[in-house]
Amino acid sequence: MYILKTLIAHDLKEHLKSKFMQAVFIFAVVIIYASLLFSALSPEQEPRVLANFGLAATELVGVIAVLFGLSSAVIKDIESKTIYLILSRPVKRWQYITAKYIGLVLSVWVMVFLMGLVLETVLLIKGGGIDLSILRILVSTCLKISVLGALALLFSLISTSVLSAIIISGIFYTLGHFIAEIKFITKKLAITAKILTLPLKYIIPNMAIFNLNDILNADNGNFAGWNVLIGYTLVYSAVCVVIGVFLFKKREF
Amino acid sequence: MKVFLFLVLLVLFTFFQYKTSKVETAYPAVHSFGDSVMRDAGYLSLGLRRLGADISFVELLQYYGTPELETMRISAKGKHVTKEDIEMSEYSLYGIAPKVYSAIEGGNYPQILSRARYILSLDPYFKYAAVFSAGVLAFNLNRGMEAIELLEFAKKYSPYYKDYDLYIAAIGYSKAKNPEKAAQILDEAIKNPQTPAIVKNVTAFLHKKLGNYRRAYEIYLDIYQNSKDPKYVDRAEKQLTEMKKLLKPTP
Repeated sequence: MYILKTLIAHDLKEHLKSKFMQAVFIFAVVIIYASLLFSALSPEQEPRVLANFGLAATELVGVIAVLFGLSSAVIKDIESKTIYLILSRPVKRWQYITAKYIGLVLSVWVMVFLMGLVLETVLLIKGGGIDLSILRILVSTCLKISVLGALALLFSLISTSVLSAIIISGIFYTLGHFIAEIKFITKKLAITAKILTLPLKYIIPNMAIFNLNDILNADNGNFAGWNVLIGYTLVYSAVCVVIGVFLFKKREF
Repeated sequence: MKVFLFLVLLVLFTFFQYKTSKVETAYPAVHSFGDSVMRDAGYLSLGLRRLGADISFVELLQYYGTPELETMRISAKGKHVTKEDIEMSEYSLYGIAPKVYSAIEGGNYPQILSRARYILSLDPYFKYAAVFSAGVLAFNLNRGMEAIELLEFAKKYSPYYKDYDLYIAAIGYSKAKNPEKAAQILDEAIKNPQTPAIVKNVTAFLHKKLGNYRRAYEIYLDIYQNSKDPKYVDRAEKQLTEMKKLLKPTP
């Protein structure tokens, strides 16, 4: 456990010191600029536009960070031969993979909350109050990012190419938002096609349940509940990481 | 042991996938796309429908606020349309002011309804956009039927939002040339703090025309104090000065 903690702490520190903080800064500048622009374009709906713009930017920056970070994490270590140094020490392979996953996901969480803080500050400056629903939306965004991160890690271990891992994870991420449309389409399909597409419904992560911004603002938004969201994230991520560890163990260095 | 634990994890995985597949998504499925399929697909695939609706609403505001009207000519007489004509056209509902928009070639913003429907198909709960667009259609452009069509479309998603019914009724009364009843219903609707300034402005104007100067003053004051739209704040300020004169008791 001590080794795992040390590895996670090392990864977390490394990521926070590097490009993540720069991304936070750029985001802060962009959102302040956007707030000025949108206040002129839509004066009566400024808080809504600003919050939606900020939350979308937060999520996208988080998604990009986790996709690039976890798709390349292991491959980069292999290419730079750092992995030999790590694995030659008393570090088990499952500890290495798990630490990579948790370290990067935690650093993205920190980044998401920092961006949320910037957003809340801008909203406060613009005359709004502290909106606690933004905090809830940020938590659900973090859970969504964790699921995507686990997928990216798994695909990077399957494909051995950063680009293909990013593309496949990206496809899963986008399909995850089309659950309502997939349901609609499958209803129209012939029985054979319906059976053939059934496994897809059980593999694609349901990203729509994490869209708390939509759920909180819809008249009949069905919130799955925090226990379901957290349970789903833990189980989905665990399955991906376990399969990833299994594949990594089979590799020879 | 490891295999057993993995099987337990898979059972849990299937359970959660099944459970979440039964959760109805907050927004209904989109069955048709707008003009830009790629853009719509982008909003949908990234789960950014609200942002898409916001951007489209800003585009609608820009479309409606386009300055081309000032340079247009009234087609029948070839007369220049002045800024005053455009300002006045907002009150053209009862033939009080010339119906400038309908007389101008291409100046009646034919895309308002389709743009508003598109916004609502992205975010069916964007009530401000629905009410704003319906207000523009009904009270500024004299296209009450289109406004009702839009409000009926919005009502499909929010059947219990009573303001939509109030606006439909107010538009109905205004078409039936019953401004007293329309003003009375709009009075009820503007109690909602989210009411667009355009609707408050029309309500105040109706009261003014009906001689209810006190009520008109109250509404203009509300616009002046609470609206963030500088155009309506300026207009309300001018009206407040005028209302003060009208409210002064004659010696």
